[in-house]
Amino acid sequence: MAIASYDQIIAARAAGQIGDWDFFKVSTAPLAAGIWHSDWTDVGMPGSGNAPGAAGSGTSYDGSGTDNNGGMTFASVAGSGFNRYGISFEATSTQTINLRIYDRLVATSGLVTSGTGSKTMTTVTLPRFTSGVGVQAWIECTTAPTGTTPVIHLLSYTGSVNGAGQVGGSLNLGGLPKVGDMLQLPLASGDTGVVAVSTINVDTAGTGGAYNLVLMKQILTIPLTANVLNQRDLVQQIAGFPQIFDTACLALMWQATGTTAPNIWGTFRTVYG
Amino acid sequence: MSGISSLADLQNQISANGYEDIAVGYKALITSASFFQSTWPSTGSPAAGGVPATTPGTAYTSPVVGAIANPTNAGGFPNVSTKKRYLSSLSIEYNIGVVGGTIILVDRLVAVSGIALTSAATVTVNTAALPRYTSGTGIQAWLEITTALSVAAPAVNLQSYTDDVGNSGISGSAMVAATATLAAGSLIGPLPLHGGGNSGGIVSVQTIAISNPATTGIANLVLLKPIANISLPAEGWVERDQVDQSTNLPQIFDGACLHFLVLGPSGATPIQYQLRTVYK
Repeated sequence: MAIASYDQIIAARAAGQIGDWDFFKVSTAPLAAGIWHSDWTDVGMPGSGNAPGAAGSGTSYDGSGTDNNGGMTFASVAGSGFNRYGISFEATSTQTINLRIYDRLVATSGLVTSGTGSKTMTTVTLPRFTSGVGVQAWIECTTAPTGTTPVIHLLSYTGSVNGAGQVGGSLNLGGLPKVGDMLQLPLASGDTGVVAVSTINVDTAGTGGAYNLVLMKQILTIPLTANVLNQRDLVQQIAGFPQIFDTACLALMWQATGTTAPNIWGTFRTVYG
Repeated sequence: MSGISSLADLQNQISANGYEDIAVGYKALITSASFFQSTWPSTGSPAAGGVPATTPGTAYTSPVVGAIANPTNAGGFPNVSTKKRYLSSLSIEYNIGVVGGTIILVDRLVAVSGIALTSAATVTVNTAALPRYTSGTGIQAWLEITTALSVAAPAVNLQSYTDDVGNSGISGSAMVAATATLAAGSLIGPLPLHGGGNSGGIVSVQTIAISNPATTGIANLVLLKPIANISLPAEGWVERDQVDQSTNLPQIFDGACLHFLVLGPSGATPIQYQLRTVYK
């Protein structure tokens, strides 16, 4: 079954077939304007998320165990023959940022940039969006590097178009990221997403520096002017109407326009039918 | 009743049955550049809400002074019993003309007064049972300042609370007051939930912990449920249709005690508001 009309959305909302999150996060400070920053380990509602498993085990945010804790999760509806959809996203922040909500799929911890060479970062199987189309690979800083700015690239990954054994483009971290800062890894020419990652190469080492590798699917990005609410209707305004799968683990990341840590509040609403 | 079934059905409840209640009013604000304030203690229409009881506090069920109401039913919207009431639109006017902000319409559920923020201590609150949203899902805990802070910005955390998935005796991380001089009416919060947990709300709070105490400062602990959000214009009138503009259509339960949380105005000019509700 799926939602087939706007009236059906109204009826479903009015009947309580909903799943809404009024979230907030107390963020940490980013390196600089322009950089993306994760709220995964920041306190708030939901509470902070756990560190993912290391290479070889990793973490699949598939709803089993406690892995999804820290994400915005939803009651299962597929077993009742329903689909769930995102219908509106509203937020405010104490700093001007671009706020993104994404589905956190898998993650592997322990990428260190203190030495050059191939680093095993094997990811587990995608729990959703299994074709890999649109799935992005990001690093999430857990220990800030010092010294030289690291340069890395995807040394071996499976692409949604090109298949196994792909090599991605080079990523200069652009400075010395702070804990929570995120950077997206370039793909090989022709690829449109990532199914799995095997290794990442550190081309230029820094001193210290550790990162999680996160595979994710973007849901929505919204610009926020400091203290002023902004909102997007995902039905009538941008007609995205994204399906939110049963085991989804929605999380927040934001692009900085300065170096001050924002506090973020907002609402993500869903309907199912 | 299953509630509103379509946009035409909603329109029909208003045009054919007259099942609509509208609340209009205004509330004074304080300047709050980068932190939230509560309109509960603000003067205006409705009048300022009262100070809640000390532990276990006050569980709010309208009619109660301070709750947003329609003109014919002071203290809240009239009960609709077996029918269901929904928020259909929310409109705000503001004319400071400098900087805009954010407004959150909330249902005030439980509050406990007399929490001193002037010593590093664990404070027992033992909040009363939630009168609505009893599962606790989506319920947030805020501190509402009743005596202004001075000298230091205290940090407050949930020391022991019960969440919406059955965990009790769990704690959350601290939230620090935005400034050391928060005025009465300002808010600290929401207080963060337990890290690594799978909950999305609060059923009750047993104790909170205070560190880095202020020299002066007293607060209410308030459990509330956000209902709808709207941007606050720098100058002018803004409206948000809750049906086809934000696809929300939140239910307003009988006994709801509605007021606003406001972030960001750079002046103390009052806001004017209009809430439209429809029921079936």
